[in-house]
Amino acid sequence: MRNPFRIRASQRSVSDEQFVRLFGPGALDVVDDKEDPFSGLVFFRSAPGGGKTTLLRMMLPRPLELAVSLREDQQVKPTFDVLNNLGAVDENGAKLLGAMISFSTEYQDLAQFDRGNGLFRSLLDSRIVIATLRSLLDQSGRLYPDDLNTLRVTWEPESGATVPASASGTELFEWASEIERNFYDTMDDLGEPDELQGGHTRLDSLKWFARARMYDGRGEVRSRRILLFDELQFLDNTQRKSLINLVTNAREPCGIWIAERLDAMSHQDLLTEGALEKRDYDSVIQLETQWSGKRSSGFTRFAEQIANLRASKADGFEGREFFPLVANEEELAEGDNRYGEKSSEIETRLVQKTAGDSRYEEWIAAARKDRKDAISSAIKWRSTEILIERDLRRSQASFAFDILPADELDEKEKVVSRAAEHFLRTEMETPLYFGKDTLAAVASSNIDQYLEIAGALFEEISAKITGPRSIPRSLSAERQDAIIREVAELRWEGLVRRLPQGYDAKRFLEALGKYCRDQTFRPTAPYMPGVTGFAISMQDRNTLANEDERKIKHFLQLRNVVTSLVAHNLITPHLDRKAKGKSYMVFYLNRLLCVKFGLPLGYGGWREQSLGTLHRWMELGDIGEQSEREPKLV
Amino acid sequence: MRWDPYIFRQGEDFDAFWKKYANEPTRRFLFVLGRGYDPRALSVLDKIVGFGGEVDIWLLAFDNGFQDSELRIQLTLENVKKLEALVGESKIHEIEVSLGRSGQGNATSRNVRQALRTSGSLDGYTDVVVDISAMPRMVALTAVASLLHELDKMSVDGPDVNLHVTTAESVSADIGAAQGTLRDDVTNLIGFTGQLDSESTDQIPRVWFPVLGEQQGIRLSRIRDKLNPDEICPVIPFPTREPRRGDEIIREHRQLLFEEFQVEPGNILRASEYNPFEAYKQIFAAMDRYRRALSELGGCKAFVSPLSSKLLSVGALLACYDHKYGTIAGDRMSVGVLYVETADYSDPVIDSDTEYQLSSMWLRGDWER
Repeated sequence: MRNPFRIRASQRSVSDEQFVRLFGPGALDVVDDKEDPFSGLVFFRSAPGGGKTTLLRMMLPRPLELAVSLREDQQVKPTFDVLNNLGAVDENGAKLLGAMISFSTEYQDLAQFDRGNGLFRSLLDSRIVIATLRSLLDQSGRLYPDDLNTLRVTWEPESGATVPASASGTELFEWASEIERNFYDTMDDLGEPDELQGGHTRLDSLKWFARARMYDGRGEVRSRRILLFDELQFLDNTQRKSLINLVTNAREPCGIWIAERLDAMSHQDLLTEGALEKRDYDSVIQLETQWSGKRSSGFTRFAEQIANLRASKADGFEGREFFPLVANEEELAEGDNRYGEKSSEIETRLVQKTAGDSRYEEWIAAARKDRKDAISSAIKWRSTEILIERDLRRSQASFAFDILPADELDEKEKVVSRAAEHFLRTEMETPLYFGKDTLAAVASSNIDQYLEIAGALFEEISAKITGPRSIPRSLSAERQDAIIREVAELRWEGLVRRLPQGYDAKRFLEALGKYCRDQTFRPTAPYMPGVTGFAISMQDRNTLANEDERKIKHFLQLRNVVTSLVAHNLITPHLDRKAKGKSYMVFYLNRLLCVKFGLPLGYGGWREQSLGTLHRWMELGDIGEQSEREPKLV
Repeated sequence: MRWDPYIFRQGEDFDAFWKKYANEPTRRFLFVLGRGYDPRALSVLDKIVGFGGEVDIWLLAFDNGFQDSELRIQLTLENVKKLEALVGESKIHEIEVSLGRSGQGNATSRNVRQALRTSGSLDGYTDVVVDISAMPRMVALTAVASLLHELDKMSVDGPDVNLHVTTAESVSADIGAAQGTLRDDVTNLIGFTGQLDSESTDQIPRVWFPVLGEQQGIRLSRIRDKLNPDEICPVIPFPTREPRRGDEIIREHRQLLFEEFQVEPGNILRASEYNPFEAYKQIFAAMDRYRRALSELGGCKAFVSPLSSKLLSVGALLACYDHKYGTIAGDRMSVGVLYVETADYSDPVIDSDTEYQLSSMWLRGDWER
């Protein structure tokens, strides 16, 4: 394989063995705080590419069995250990029987002539039964569908139940296939579709799956059971609600994992607690949120695992690790004195600016005394400049004339140094985005985004390593920076195409990016490490989420654009951020968009905006005028 | 193969054919048109009416849920006025069609089929002409497939009505034109699910034939993610008016095709850009090779994604239609047509110098007897 970063592990074309070998066990960190992740209902939500299907696929019998049988392999062992700790496997094999059902848009066609959802339930019944039969055969190492006759399932159905009370695998398969055949006969008819007959009043297969006694050729199957529903966003709204109600109320003794994209959710869900907090269900895990904040170091570790596993699968790369080949520092060439010259330039500027003012003498002297390397020294000068700028503005107001002591500079410098480095590198056009941590940060908690960026870096690393006259050298900070910016630019160029509201979304983001830049690069660097998001008051959030649509006609398009950006992980919402006694909903830019706009990657800075301003951004893009009264910095 | 031989007329041949054909006194034409801003919208009709054809119009008026720009509204109104002047207001039957939005699945295709079915009887006409010049791809393919099917059925014990597909096409202009935004979801042409999500046949291999054009990376990715194909056979246009067009398309999508999708270079097929019936034959034959080769192993499912010019897309559709309804020796396979629809359009760039070529495909009717 030339560039294994381009492979999507959840794909069917990736064999189960390859899938297990590429699986980063850190993915399971998202469930490690659950007492028992395989009981009750768990929702996994994310933007596309968040890693939901990968999580579900790992719980199927063949990947679990492979994790056990390959556990001596150093790359697979960590996966086995994590699964073992979770109780999904032990040395003897899989302890879970997972059956996966993936939804698609065809259910929406069904909804057109299925008012009571009876046909939906019958189709789902058939699919749960077939998926279970396949998993039973996979677990017993037999072939699907050839060995169906080795299976038998019995249960005690309620009166009127549809799934046979006792049947062989072959009989159950026939029963379920008949439902599917009827369905496709109708769906594939180009003419007037016949009325679909039948329809189930209950979702019997749920109880059947949880309680039936199942026998494969080796005896009764005693594994714990888990139903894995993927791509719930493709259901019609009434089907989705109906299914969620059914599984929530049934409380059957099996686990149920449901994966869905954020774009399945209504604007109310996306803009209110439903999307972000545990409320109605045992557990809702929103992957991007789960990987952010305190858990971001977990994502970094997980991303590292993925990168190393992928790199090891590349032709000519065997035995090497990815990250030693990614420079974490900027190396200066012999005789390169750009940073020294920059230091001198800042010094001259500061001396001129503070001429005749003894207040800053000690600070400037301390910066002069700094004898670290050229880059650190230049950062110190730039930090000093920011601090003097701040003090000048303050002291002009307060008439302070005391000399500022040098030790105070050291204290304050720690606070502003990240912003100072960002300013410095931006002004000098030296690399901003490089190193292992940056690589994880620009992924914005999204695995696909991570693979896209890491894959682009790997392309160049691999060329250096595997060519006939190759010299194994790490990828320089300059090249990393250039490649990451190129990926960001390509994503940006494709943005209009990718989003249904692409034109409005792009204008909105352009304006937001410009706004963040204007705020970030203010001379006093008022907020660390920069402004990379905006906030709306909880009252405005309520207006967008809950107000009668007739009353907010003028904001409907804005609401659609904001929710679409959230659903695609281009902005990430955080509820209930408090400042000055008020609560806000904060939206941070996707970190790859931060690269596009030359912003820092740290979270933190945001400013409140009115809905009117946001609407103007959407309508006018980055030529949109800002409101005359500058909103208060938070 | 149903369309071998075939009747296809283009350029000067188009004029010669329609001059004679439209002038036959017994002909009564139903024209199915898109109500759009595209300057090509009336090129074909203009010719045929000019040649003396007597026509009724079904004008498909689309609503995609987005606010149209002033320019597009103005251009659309101009087209409608020209149409009224050309055939008279009384001849025009406007049919509302709601296009699906993200998250609404196959609504576009479903609504088009429903709209055509309920718009009126076809048996009073000798010829139905679907002009796809100003129709979104999914609308055009649904209209062609469902009318072809309906007329086929009607001919069993009723009148045998001719069906033609016409278009005014310029590949270079279409490449240059702004492409609009895409819906989030992959949809299928109604009647062509390919039983993609069937659990009971999930083990059957899926072979995908993306018919490639320029700037289709996002569509390709989305369809591949949805389809999870076992084998991919990209179809590139060749021969082409621009000799390097096929190479350029491959170059543009090389990372996607060869690194992400791991396409075997030997799987790449070529289909004529000039002639949709030749493309049909090439795609049909390729699909059939897989059907026959895998029939002993339990069969396969074939999926086609029409991502190239509209004419080539109609050729690909015919290949699917023929596999589904035509005469096939042995077991049939499930056939699906997968696509990612455009959600919203940007303003068109009007270039009055662009030359369009008129083409006409005679799909069914008198010539088959």
